Amino acid sequence: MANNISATIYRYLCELFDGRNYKYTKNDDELRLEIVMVGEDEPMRFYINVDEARSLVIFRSFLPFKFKEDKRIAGAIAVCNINYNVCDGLFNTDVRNGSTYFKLTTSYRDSIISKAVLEQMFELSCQMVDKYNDRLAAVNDGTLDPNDIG
Amino acid sequence: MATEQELKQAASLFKTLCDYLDENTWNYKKADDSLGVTFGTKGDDLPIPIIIRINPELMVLSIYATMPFEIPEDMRVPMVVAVTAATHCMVDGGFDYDVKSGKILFRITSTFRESIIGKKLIEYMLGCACVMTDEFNDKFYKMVQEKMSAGEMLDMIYKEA
Repeated sequence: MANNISATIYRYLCELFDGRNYKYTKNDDELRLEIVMVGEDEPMRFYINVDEARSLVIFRSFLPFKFKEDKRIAGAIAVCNINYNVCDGLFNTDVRNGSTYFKLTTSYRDSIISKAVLEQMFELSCQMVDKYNDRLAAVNDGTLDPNDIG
Repeated sequence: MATEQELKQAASLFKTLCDYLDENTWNYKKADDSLGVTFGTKGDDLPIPIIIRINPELMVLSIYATMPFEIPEDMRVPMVVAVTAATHCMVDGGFDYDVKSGKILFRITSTFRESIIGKKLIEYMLGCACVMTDEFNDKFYKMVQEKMSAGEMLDMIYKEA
């Protein structure tokens, strides 16, 4: 059974999505939610976890493609170029298999975090993934130089 | 532009930060024109310069730990393998790497909008920054000195992760 703080944050997340009439799936035992949002081009699937053991709220979104083997270094250059110019959140790629994801975390250790934090995290995650998913796909296709991704 | 309320909340968090650093006898310098501090510490081997910033517009607390060296030009592209692999091992935070200049820094952030942030959160974030940078700075340095291949870099990161 989740402690009160973790359970409250999980409830805030459910209320955030319920309030906007968003459809999502959830796991009350593991404090996990999954939601698909439609951006400008590709749909974006977000996995949200209230990690009670670490006191972390974690937003993750995996891109719907993997970098081809000959594009994995380019993909790694691209995510580095994105990350060096952002304040919060990051993209990363596993060069062993080309899997690429966005991650945004906030700790709530010894703290009381608000619904506004979760709303901001969700909005930023959507904006970042929507902005860069097609650009990262273009790097994979060879139609965008990873140094031009900004 | 931050609102008055946002500035007030950011200032309150800055006070909490400085109180925490004072209580733990960190010798830090306040930034003149922003809600930030800088100081240094040392890990097992290399020094770890630390920068902490509170952004009142985005309402984000950021802690950066920089590498005390830059990646030389001939290793800047290969090092993307090491940086992304190291970040992949982490649940919170990650390495930012400017491929053009060879600068690497660890970044960890927390959003504090309309929230009350405790000292233990600052301690946790600072701990992550120091531990993760100490874990990887000598590895990055060794990779550069020995001009390791991508395969060798991945072996080093994942074998010891």
